[in-house]
Amino acid sequence: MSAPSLRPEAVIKEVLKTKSGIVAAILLLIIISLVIAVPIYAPYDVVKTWNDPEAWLSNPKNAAPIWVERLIGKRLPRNIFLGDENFSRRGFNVTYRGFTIKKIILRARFEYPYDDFPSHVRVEVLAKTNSSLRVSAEFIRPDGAAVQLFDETISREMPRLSMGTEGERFHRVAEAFYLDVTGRRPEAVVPEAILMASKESLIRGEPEVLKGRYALRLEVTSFNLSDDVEVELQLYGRVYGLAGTDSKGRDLLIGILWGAPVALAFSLTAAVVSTLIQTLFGILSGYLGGRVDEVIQRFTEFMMIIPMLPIMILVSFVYRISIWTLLVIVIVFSLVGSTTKVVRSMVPQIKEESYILAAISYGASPWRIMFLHIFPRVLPYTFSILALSVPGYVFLEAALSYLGLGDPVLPTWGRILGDAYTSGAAYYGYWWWILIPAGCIMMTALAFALLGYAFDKVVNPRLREM
Amino acid sequence: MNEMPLLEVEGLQLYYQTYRGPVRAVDDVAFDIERGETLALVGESGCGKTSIAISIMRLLPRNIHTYRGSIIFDGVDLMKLSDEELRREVRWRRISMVFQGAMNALNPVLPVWLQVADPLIIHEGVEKEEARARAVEALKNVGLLEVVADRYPHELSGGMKQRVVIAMALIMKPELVILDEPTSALDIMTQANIMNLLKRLKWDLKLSYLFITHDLPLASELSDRLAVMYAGKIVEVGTAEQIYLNPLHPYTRKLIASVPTLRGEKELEFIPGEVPSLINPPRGCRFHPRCSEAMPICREEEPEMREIESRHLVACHLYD
Repeated sequence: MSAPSLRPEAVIKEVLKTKSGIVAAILLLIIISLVIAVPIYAPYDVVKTWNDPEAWLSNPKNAAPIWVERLIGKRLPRNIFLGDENFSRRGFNVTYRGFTIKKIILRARFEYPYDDFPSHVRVEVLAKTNSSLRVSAEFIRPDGAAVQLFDETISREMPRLSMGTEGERFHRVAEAFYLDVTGRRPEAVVPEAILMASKESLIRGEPEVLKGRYALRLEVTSFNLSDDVEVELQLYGRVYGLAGTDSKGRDLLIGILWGAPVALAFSLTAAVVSTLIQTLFGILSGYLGGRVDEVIQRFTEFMMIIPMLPIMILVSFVYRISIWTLLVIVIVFSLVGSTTKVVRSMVPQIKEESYILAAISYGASPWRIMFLHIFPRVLPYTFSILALSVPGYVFLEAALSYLGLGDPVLPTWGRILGDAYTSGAAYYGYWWWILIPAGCIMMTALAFALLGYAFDKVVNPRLREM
Repeated sequence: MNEMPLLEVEGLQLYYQTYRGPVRAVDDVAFDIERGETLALVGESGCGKTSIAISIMRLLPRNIHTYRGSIIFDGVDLMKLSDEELRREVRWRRISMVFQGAMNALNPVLPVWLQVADPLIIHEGVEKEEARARAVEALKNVGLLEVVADRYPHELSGGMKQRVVIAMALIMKPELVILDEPTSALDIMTQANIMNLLKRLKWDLKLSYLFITHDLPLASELSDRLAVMYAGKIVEVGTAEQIYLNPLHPYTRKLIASVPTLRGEKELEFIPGEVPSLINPPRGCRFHPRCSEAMPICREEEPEMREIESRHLVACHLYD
């Protein structure tokens, strides 16, 4: 019987004929498309932005992915942002008893068609004045009711007036509005819900969103004709992007996308390099035999017994290493291993084949025989080992990041999961923050496991019947 | 023309070490090969034919017990060369070998040209393009098309593979080629093609062959002289005519009698008994337990090689 064809191209062709090979190829394509999407979706320094809390201020916190709407059949609020340029402004001067007073009326409208209240509302005013000016703001609802948010004097020393629904001022306004509409005090004050609910629903005690056109109207009064203000109104949504956001408002999609190349680079490099080196040691051990064999085999057994994860935890804990240092350490601990054993068991058989004897007789050096003749013979078999070892490295990186011992700056899937854990995402029901990165980890692991299984079937014909 | 034979083997011993004692695979063997001559080494499986080949090439396994004698090739005793000298100067440059089993003689994961050219790359350090060109030339020389060069062994038939192996043996233009059962795994038509090819190459390239086979009729195809081996010893050497027409040793006679012929009804003979253990060979003549003409002296004394007629030597007490 002639030896089966085990050239790489032929093996890959065969692998794509198996069912698990096709599934693995599809999953790998998905992962690769994630990698390709990074520069399209986030064409900036992702790592720097990810770790900058300022960069995410305008995003809703803990927002679910947008496609949740389809699952629950409701329109959920998106972010609504009205910057200074969205405000129409009308300025005029009034002369009264010899004083000239400048008045500016600013007005912005927005449509609110959603079925749920925004998660948060924020109004911000920045006064540009040399002394002080007075600003009053009214929140005008679709039903015509106007709620005064504030009426304050802003001075040069503290030119910024910021009012968020988490603050006391918004609470007081909302409470007063509730009292006015229903005649009773609310049990709990949720300003964004009270101020945007229909009056009937408030009276019923089951606030429902009042849909329609809202407006914010500001009136600025100043004695100084050159004074002006800048205004911003932001209504934070409840859904964001394809993967939602975390507790800092970070777009998880960026983290997920960026996690793909990191996970692939880490696990593939670790798997390829360690499998190749282990293969080489296996060839050395099997071909040279004797004392070299003995030393390599005993050392391999020693290294296989050492538990990798506890050592990695220890090292990361003590040195706070980056993912690339971690990679180097992983490779150092994987110089010899199970592949060394597998290859070692294959080489003596190959060594006895007559082309090896021929190579020896025409003067090929042991190195040439090992690299030119034996290495390509065992390579197809190591493909499956390589693919099957990738999930282990994906999980290792995720486990370390989850424990907070991974790379301190790179967003990785494991680190996103770790953040979710420390923020109590499971407790609050922020499922997208857990399931999406965990799903990515599992998908990558599954893809390579299936690929390895498919390779195994092709190069190990006895498994083909299965 | 040089009077000295190309290869002269004298007192060659190759014993393998085993737990039960040394195996005397080659025991005190002597023969010679003239330039341009083919010597066939004929014998049953396990009689030490291949051991002689690997002794000449010094391709020894680890478990060697004894390796001595003299192997004088073109006036140089190969036994006295260092491993490195042998590797650089002799193997493949002057003596090359076609190994047993064409099916496994090629690496399944390397293209044909690379395997044919590998000796060139090692010994002459030629560049890839030149190596490939010379491999193609060598392949054409053994009757293969250029397209074969880029094929992989599994894409070739048995006969093509054997031709590739022969091309590989000839790439360095050696003087002596050891052919170890070059056609054993091939069908009879392919066998004939390969034999014709070997004959043509011998004339074209002025080669000498040491042709190792268990197939007596096949040996007659190619060889000028035959050496019959039994249990690690050469029992009879002579020209092809002498051996076929006038076999002297009882073993040779039985061997010839066991070959079927096309013409005439012939009762095929066989040799009773089995090949003796080479760890503990019989005293005296090693063939005596199976010999129909054994005499008391055969049990006691080992027969010497003696020349019965010109260049026809036999080791048997019948001719004392």
